[in-house]
Amino acid sequence: MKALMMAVILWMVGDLGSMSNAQPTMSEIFEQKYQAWRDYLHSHPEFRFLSQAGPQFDCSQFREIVSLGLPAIPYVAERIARDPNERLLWRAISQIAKVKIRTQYDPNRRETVFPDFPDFKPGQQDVFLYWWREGYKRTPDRFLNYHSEWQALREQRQAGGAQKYSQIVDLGIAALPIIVQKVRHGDTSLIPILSVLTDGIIGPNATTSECSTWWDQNGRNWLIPFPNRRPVARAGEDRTASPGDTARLNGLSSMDPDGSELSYEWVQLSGPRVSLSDATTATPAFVAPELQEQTTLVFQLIVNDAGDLSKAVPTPNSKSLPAVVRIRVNPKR
Amino acid sequence: MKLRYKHQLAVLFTLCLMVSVCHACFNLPPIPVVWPEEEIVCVDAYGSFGGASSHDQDEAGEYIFTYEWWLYDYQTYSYVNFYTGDYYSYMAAYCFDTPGRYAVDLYVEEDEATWSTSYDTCEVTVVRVTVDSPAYMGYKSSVEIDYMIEPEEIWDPDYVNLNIYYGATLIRTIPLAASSGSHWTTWDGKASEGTWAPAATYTVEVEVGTENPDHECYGSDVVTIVDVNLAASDLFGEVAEDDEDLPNGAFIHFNLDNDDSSDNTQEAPKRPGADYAQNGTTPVTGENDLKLIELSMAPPLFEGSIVLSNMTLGKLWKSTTKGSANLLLGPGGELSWNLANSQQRDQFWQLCTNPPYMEGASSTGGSVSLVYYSPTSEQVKADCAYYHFIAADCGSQPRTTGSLSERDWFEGAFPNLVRCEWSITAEASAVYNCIAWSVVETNVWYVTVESARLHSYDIVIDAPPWGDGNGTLSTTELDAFYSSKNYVPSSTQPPSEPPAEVAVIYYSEDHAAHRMGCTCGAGKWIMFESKCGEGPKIEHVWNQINGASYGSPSRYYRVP
Repeated sequence: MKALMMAVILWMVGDLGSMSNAQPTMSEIFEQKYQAWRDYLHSHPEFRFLSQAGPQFDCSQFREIVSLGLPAIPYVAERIARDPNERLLWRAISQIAKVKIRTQYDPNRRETVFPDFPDFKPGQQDVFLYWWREGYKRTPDRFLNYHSEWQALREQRQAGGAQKYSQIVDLGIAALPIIVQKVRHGDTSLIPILSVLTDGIIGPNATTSECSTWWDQNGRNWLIPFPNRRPVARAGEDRTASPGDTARLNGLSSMDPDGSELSYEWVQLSGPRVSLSDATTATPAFVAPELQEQTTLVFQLIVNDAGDLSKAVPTPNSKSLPAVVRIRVNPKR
Repeated sequence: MKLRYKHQLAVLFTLCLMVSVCHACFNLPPIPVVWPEEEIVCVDAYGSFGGASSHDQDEAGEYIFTYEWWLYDYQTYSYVNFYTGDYYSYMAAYCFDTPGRYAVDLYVEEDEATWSTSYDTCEVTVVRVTVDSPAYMGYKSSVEIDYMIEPEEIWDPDYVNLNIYYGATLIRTIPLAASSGSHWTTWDGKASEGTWAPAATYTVEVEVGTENPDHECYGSDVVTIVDVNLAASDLFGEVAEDDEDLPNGAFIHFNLDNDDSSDNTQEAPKRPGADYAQNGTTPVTGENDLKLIELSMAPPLFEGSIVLSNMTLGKLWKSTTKGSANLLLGPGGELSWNLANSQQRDQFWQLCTNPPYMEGASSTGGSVSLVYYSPTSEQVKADCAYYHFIAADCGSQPRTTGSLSERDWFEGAFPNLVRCEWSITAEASAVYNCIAWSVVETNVWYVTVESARLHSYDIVIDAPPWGDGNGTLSTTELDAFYSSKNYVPSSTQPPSEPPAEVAVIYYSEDHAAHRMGCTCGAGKWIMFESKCGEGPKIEHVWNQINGASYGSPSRYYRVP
């Protein structure tokens, strides 16, 4: 009996200990800091009437949100998406990701236009959310354009180089992978930009080798956790198999719109149970059973893109919707 | 000595004959001498005459034995022996009660004779001055004064003056025509230095005289200058006396309704409106749209009547507490006090001591008047306070709902905002801001410099084509921005009040407002519209949003 009581006490102590060691999630941390900032704003109603940035952001509460860094960006973005009145939060993303979105005033249309996102329709959606959800994918192309223009201006010693330089910098941290790639290919002129975007961690006079090594070791921490899009499972065409044959399922057509590596999960839904060779591969196989009558075996495939680097912060949409394939097994003759 | 009528010629002839006879007997007649030879005497006053210079022509020892004084009335052709005395009675006096021309004759008798025919005469003009003025006249007004100088036609004075006395102090002398007869003149109600004679009782005197300073006659009457006054206070303080009678004299809000927010729902679409709960039995206190209107009257009078009329749609309250029991005078109402009645007189003076409060109730104006009527029911003096009830009524009343009402929110951020001097003209929007609205654009958000961006879609003025992007917005860059929007700097710049030409005000803390194209405030205000950050757009007076948030006006622009 004493042993039982001791076991219960130890279990409880252990459980309490595990509770005290529970770390708040990024979601909780962000919400806490976000509420502190909101409280600060509410205590200053006059801030609502400011149309220029100022004391709304020049406060410790907002700086703490920014200090959360890249992992907080998805939560900031989702908060803006949920409540358009919280669009002031975009500034946190801008500061964390060092991204600036170019705007111009079109006097003919008498409205703001976005040269980098010509298909964005003003007024329908906040452009920063657009950047967050779709626009970032254009970062490599925009970088290559700006970079080639910048290089051309430099070679021809023409004016306007500073503007192109600023445009590259304003792509923000989202451009780091391709900048590093360019540096690796020998374009050392980009190292100062790398230095700016990494807050000087990479020195402006760093070597290509130093940049490459740093990225290999730390690049994972400098990727913006852009929103994950659901992968698509494709289980292949229905087909027929003969008893005793080795039938192979084919999930190779599955894809991830974000280009992430997929993991596979095959499950048999109906028919005489068969043994899949490896249900976590794209193409598991099984031996068609010998049956007295024609029977259909149904298999379900779910793919998962959770293995991607961008999933450092748990995000939804990592699992695909299920796809099924029907394998008809003919009777034994 | 003058010759007179036929019977006197006969007497003279007889006397000459007697003298010649007496001379023949060596007894010469006495010679009467009257002093003065001419006299002007005021009616009902005594004229004094002396005959001490009379003497006998004979040798020493003879003297005037008796003096006999006769008054001849030219009007009635009659003689009156008004005094006879012995040799001590060489002086005589007579009180004239009727104006006209008279002769005072002195007959003397010497001691040698029992009767003498010698005489001397004094021509006397008896003057009467009659003045008739109204008993009351209004302050800062003139009055007609009738006067009559008698005798008329047969005599004219050397000079005539109108003298105005306050007590024993002569405050004004006005020369009048030096002629007898009936006349009238006007006193303009001013003292000699040109200032208005204050409300008081004055003696109006007509002075009639000759070169001889002793020959002056006077007539007088009493007139009381009455002043009644309404002293109105308005939004801008105390209204100047002379202005309150003019149109737009006093300005009072008509839409302050902080007692019951639900009132605003009664006027769609929540436009500024009058109070509706003011007649309720539950007193309402603390409304600062009530403005004092003070009543006064001078001097204190004990006859006649005074009437207070309210020809506005506003209401006069006995104090700042509103409620049915405290209403003094509603729209179109009138109160009258008979000053001869001590109780009513006291009621009026109580109102002067504890003046009422005016509350506007519509967008129209009107007047409140205070009139004094004389006992003969003639209007003597009136004062009128003209009111104009104004409001910023282009927009909607700020909502009073929510944990922090729009009223509290705005007036907390902008302490100079007066409740009824602003209203909401557009709902909150994060699409456009103040600078955008200052150039009448509603789908763009302008910020001064890159670091001032609030949103991803903000347009930076300190960037091409207006600025150099150096992180500081210069006046040149700001002018370039507004120039591209077809506005140019005004010739008048802050801190002067913006003239009517100013279409855009730029504020020192990067705010901007655009002038409204309305007549809000009846011309007393020039209303501007500010889009307040992501909040609503409001209309306000040019300097009412001055403060920590927006600073103060720093640049004015106009349409070229």
